[in-house]
Amino acid sequence: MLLGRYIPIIGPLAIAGSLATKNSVPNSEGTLDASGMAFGVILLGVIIVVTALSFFPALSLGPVAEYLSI
Amino acid sequence: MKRNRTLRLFDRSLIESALKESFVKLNPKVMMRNPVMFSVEISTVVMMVITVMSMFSNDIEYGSFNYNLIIAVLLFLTLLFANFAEAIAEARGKAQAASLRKTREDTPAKRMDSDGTITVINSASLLKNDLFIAEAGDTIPLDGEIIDGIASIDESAITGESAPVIREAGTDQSGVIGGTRVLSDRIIVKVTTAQGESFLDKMIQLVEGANRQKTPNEIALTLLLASFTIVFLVVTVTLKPFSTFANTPVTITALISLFVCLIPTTIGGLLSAIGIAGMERALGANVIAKSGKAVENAGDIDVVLLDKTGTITIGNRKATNFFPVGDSSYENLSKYSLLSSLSDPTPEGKSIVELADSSKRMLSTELLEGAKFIQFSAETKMSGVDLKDGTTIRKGAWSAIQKWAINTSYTREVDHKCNEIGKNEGTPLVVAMDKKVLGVIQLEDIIKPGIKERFARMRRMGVKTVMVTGDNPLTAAFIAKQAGVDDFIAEATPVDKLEYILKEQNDGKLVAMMGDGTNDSPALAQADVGVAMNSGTQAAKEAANMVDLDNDPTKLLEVIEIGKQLLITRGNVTTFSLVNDVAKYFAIVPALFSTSIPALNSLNIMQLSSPDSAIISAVIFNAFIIPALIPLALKGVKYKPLGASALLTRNLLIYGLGGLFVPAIAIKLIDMVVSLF
Repeated sequence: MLLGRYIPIIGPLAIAGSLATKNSVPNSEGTLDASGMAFGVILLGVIIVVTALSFFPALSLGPVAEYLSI
Repeated sequence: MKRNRTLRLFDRSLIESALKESFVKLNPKVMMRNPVMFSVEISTVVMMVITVMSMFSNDIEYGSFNYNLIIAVLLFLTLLFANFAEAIAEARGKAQAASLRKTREDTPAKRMDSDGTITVINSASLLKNDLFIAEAGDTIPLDGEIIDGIASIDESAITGESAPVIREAGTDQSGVIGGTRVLSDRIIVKVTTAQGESFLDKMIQLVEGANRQKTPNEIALTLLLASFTIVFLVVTVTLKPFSTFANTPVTITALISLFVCLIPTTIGGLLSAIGIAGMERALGANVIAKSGKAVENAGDIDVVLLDKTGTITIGNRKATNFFPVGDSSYENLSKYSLLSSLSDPTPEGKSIVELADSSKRMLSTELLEGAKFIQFSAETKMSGVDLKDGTTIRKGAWSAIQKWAINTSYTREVDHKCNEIGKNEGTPLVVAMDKKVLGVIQLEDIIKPGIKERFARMRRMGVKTVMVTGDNPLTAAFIAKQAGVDDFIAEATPVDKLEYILKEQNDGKLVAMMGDGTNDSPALAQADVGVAMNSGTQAAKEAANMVDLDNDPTKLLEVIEIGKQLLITRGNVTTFSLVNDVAKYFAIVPALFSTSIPALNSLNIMQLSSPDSAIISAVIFNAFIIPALIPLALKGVKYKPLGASALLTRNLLIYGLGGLFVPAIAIKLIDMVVSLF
């Protein structure tokens, strides 16, 4: 519980807080636009891949196995 | 010609020493710096224990002996491959630096004591701040700064540039490099760095393993990889109780194999090699970087300050046109300009000679016999020649010639021409013979060829170019537009440079600049990336964080590309490593459970032949992908200056999709071979 719930909450909040205190660098040609399509797609892809990698083995034992056995 | 020192990708002697190093690096104290590979080392040890135990027990927990042995050996190979990658990168870095250092060793030096006596000693005995003499024919023993005299020096041993250079005390060109040869005259030099402490030596320490500090980017990436390792450790460890609950026992071997395949070993093993290779590429471009951080920062530079003279324009003004006035002919003007310039040592004079008809040069040498050459002086603002037969020829500023010449019937014409030339940002030089004005020579700043394209490339990379010059604003604006720089600082003093850098940094931008004089030191120190020319003063070299051996002002562009290349290579290999896991999953997970849950075989999309062969194939792929990617790590990804989004998308497509399909195909192929046994 502690690990699974609170660390994923506290972690990103700490990162956000640390970033907020830093200077902002102005946009240039080399900046990756955080509101652009490329960024959005990449973010989605990374989230899916990393989450899948973490949960796939456990899932495959449970729900996936059940589904395939039916 | 700039010598670009690139090593062949694999050199026999380098490989041998790297192989030996790979074993030496297995020491846990060394491995601990790399969390990912350290985990693999621990897994290998556990695996070896299991193998031994499986020899004596028939417990199904332990699996078959052969199988365990194979996996243990494969894990050990993974470790060796990762160490090899780092070792060979280090070996290349050292070889690159050694080739630079070779010429500096054991040269005799003529040390000068405080009373003026000269003793010949070995260069190794020279201490910092000692004085030594170097005369024509001597090799300079150590890096130093000329405190008296002027000499021409052949620096080809270090820079590969065969044309001799002039170094003089008290100027911005007072630095001399150990290993170069004096061609003429005599100089007194003060040693600035003792042997073993030069910038080159410090850079060698940067590539050698023991003293290497991790750069901030490396630390961040290592943290990320460590957190992935922890996550995957939890995933693997929790699988044991899950599997027991589901009545599908898994062997420890299988779990360890899953763990090692999941953690990002590809990037974990190659990370340091990529960093070292970046430094080595900087050395190959004849740039000595004082820290890995400087090279990485170079990749993120937003603004670049470049001096106009020597960078954007070819050093000195060049004669481009002759304009005769009144009744003088072009022929005449050209002939007398030639006569007055043949003995003129200034570059302007030489360019006038070039412009004039070269066929007349023969004639002129006869005419010049017994002639007296009048040097240019700041008071007269003229130079010229007095011929044997009494003819006097002068050339110089219009204001000066006007006073000298008596026949001023063409004053208005000359005025008009001079204004015209001035408007086009050139300099007019008036020529007169026997006090009569012949015409005007137009001198222009010539923009170096290819500069415009280089600046366009920088703009595409997102870097703003700024030209710094002592010219007046009008001239500066004209040249700036011609060369294609984004901004310029006119009538610039060293303080102006510093202020500009501070202003940009306050806006959050990263600034790079090149300099060679002591008065550039504050600006060089303040800039995020300061590149000092090796011919510059010691103060400039101390203040900067990189030293350019070629004294090439456009080197900054290459340094920026090397920095970007370094960061992009890291990102791409990380992506590849993580996406590989997807394919490895589809190999291992069905293999783990399909014996007890046959339905899971439908997940076996690669149709691998058996659980054992599936796991072995995956582990083989995991081990061998590391050496397979070593060439990519050492050479770096090719950098194309697109915008950030485009570049990222392109790289992700290549390494992301590639990371999905390459392991799938590779594992399938390996499996087909393995299943034959």
